[in-house]
Amino acid sequence: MYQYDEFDHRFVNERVEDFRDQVTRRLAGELTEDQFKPLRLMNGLYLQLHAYMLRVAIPYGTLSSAQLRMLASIARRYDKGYGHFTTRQNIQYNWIKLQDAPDILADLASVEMHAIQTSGNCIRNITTDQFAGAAADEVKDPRPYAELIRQWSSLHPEFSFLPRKFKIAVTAAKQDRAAIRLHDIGLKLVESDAGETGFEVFVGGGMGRTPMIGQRIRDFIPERELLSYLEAILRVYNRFGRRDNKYKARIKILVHALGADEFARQVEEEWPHVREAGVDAAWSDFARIAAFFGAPDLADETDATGEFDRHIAGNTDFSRWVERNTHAHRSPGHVSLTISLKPHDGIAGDATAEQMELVADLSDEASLSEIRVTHEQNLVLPHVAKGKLYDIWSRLVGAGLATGNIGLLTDMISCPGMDYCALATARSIPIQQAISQRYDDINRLHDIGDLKIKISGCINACGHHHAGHIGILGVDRRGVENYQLMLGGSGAEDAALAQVTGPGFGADEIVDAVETVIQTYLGSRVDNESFLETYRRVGLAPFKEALYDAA
Amino acid sequence: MTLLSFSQSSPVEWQALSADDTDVSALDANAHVIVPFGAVDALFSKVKAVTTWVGVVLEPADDVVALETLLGDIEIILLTFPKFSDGRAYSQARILRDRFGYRGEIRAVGDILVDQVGFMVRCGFDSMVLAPGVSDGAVARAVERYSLVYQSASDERLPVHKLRSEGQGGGDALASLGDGI
Repeated sequence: MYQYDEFDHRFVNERVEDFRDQVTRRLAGELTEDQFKPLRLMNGLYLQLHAYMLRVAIPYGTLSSAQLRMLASIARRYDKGYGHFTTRQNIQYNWIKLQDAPDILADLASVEMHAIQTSGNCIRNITTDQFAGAAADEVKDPRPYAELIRQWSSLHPEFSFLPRKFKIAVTAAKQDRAAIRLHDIGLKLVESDAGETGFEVFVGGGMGRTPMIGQRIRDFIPERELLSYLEAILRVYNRFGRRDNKYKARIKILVHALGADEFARQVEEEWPHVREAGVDAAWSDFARIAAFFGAPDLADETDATGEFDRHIAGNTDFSRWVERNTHAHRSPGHVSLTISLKPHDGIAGDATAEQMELVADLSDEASLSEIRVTHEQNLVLPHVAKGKLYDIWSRLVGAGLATGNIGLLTDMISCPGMDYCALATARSIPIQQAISQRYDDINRLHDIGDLKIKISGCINACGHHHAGHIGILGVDRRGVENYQLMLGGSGAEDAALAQVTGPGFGADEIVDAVETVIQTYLGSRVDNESFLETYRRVGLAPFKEALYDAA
Repeated sequence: MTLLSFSQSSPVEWQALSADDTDVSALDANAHVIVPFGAVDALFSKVKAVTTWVGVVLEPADDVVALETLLGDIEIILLTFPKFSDGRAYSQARILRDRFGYRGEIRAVGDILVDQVGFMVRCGFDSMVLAPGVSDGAVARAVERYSLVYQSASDERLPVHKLRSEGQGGGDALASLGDGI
């Protein structure tokens, strides 16, 4: 993975000193909260319902074991012993004291991490496929490009005060695990017939109040011209995106208003000017970046799986966990292992300091000291020999980390909701926990099969409810929490927005409503259809009928 | 009001015309005159016939591209920040510098945080008008805070990728930067 050179170190250290100065001035009363707010937001520090929250960037979701140990240490020293992994592949600490924030940033800088651009109306953390560099279905590792974009976007002088936040996702695999069409810019790495690497460019996707699927504005942009093309997109957005209403300020609204063709035309008109200004220069530095992401040197472990096969045959818990939580690796005898942060009584995405340290240890022993964070709020050991899985599983069981539910109903995305967030209008975590408790029978979960439930506690949709096979949106109705149910969304390569079923449900009714949806699916499915396949075949009507007509 | 200037700096005092000021005959031949963008078509050539020193003030929604043919005759362009969070003027400045090679002064006016000054300089602003009471120390910190930049912009600073690729070892390149910018 990428390693800082002296330049990168110097940059983050300067950032720490910058923020230390700003916090000192705030604590001394030289800055009012109004003056301090834009400054702290540039360092990922939010003021939440109960305390400050610090959001730490995990660029493209890749961590070293040393970095994960530092995240554990910060959780123990400055928070309540845990952290929360987010849908942006970042981590948040919910109980931070303002005076500690500079020291936390210094700790992060010591392991080549920071909180730059994790908030504010700027280019946020670049996200990608959690199996990048390992997946069997990948054209090429997308992370060098994500790192290139990260560096280009760091304190970009023109794009630090955009109309609204800006999210870029990159994928290089057939299966879209990065939800690129639900991002402001989605980049799909492709190779031309001539063997040249480039990107298909999607613009204007997003969730929030006005969910939209991103539209393709270019079939192929050569890799060497990627940054100037991005700069042209950002310039058009910065100049013409709406600023009169923050709920209409994302690029999707501009693309929708202009039409994708006209937006693309404006970008193409701007692009030559940007290109001539030399944004793309020094491609040789890309080779330096790419060298950090060379294919891992893994021995062929195909023949070393005898013991593994015996455990698979003899232990159903283990074999089911392997079935759900591993993903095909390009090296023979290896898998990418997803460690579920969705235990049946827990909070989606939370991990304790001890759990983080165990995962760090396991990555040292079995995954080249590398860990990934997924946008579905789980952790991944990307390069694991099958022969080591049984030992890993046994140790995860003891730490409450061996839930074999990846891609199943209880592998839910949930935002923090009203338990933490100042914007939320309803709680999400208790709903996620109640669903989790209802579906605690692993046999039943396997029978239900692939299913993504996504829960948000307000219309800003941090819990991605629009992209849920089953989406749940908590709103406030005259002081009472009410939960809208929606069906049929997808954030994958078959991206679609979920459809609202009808009137919402009370907090004590929503789990039963989910069960009604599940029953309807089970009664309608043919052969081995997944929930989404059944839904797409039969449509919303039978679900609506079951939910509302019976009453 | 504090005028902060990094390169060229025009006087602060001038006569600001509005679109209604159609009679320019009373202007002094040495007058410093600012014309609002919306009145450029009507007034610019008339004013220019009286005095050589003419500037233009733009709001963020004004299309800076429309000024292209006049740029050689404009002494100063004032770009407005109605709120510090409105970042459109950064793009206006970059288009003026990078696309049109404008060499006159670009000045930021309006609601400006001292912490934004570094971004402004990088986008081609020469000067900015800050609210009163900003300490010299705060200005210096804002400007000198970052010794490195990661992307090329409208200033002369070499981005990190160029420092790297020009064969300068990290240590040498850093040493040559000294302590300041």
